[in-house]
Amino acid sequence: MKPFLLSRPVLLLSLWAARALAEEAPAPVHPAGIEKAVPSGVIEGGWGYVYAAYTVALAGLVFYALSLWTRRPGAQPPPPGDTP
Amino acid sequence: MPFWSPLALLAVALGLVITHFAVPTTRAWMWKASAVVGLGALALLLYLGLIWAPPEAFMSDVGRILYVHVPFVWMCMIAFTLNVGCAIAYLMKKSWRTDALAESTAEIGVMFGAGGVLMGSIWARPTWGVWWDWDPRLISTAVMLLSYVGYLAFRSFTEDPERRATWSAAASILGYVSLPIVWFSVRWWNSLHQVQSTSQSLDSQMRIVMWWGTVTMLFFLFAFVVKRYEIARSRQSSALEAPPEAPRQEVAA
Repeated sequence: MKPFLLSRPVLLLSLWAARALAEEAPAPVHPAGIEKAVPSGVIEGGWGYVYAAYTVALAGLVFYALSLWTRRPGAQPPPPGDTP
Repeated sequence: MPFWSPLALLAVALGLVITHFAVPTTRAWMWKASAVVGLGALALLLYLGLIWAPPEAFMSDVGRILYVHVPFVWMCMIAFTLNVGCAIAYLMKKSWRTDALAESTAEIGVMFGAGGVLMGSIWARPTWGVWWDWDPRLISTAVMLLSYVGYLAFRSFTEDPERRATWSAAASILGYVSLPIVWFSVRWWNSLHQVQSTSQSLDSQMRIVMWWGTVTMLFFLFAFVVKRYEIARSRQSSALEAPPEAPRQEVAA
């Protein structure tokens, strides 16, 4: 005897119900179709992070330039007892 | 970005360095011009990145970190590529000049890399919710930076200049293995970090600002390499009473 769940009318009814449920579900926000589990939306604000990153960039350039300046050849005087 | 973008940047950096060393008349002014133009370009980058560029579609204004984070990391990779080039050149034909250039590019690469990682961490907090994640891209970048910090530490601890040059050249080649892993990590593994941006994924205005930032940092990279090279050469002169042009060549028995 055929199992009840595999009979054609029930299978078709199940497929129809699944399709109806899928159509009612909200579409993913991301155009590329990221799964719904992934948070969606736009980050608001965050300028503090932007300023912090730009400050790191500027500070890196400035401090490295300063380190090159202080280490430049001839910048440090010879030790006191080094003169002939 | 097109796949050839990093190679084009590397070619420009290499061209500037080769011109500086091969054409003596450019040595006095080219690095100064590079630094001055870099300062002007940096001022414009602040305007372009913070005001002119549009907000990113999902990250909004936080996406503006892109214009300093990516150029810093690219300069790090260019510096390390120049470094490994010098290391190979030194092993093929021993020269104090290539050794000094290797030292300077390694230090500058670490500086740019550390800045890039720090900015990436700041960027990760509002987008990923964490300052740091044990992600393939982040781990490989940390390993790469640590290997070059070790390279610099080895150079500072070793007294004998010849041994220092030879062994650090070998260490440089070993350390450079991590660079392609960093580059391709976002493609090879399921990384939280996004894959490299392409011309299709970046708005034209954003693309302009990112390139402007990259060219700006390239000017600084060149000026830094020239000045750091002078420091390395000066230290070589101090270490060797009469610095020869090249270390001793081993004579075949």
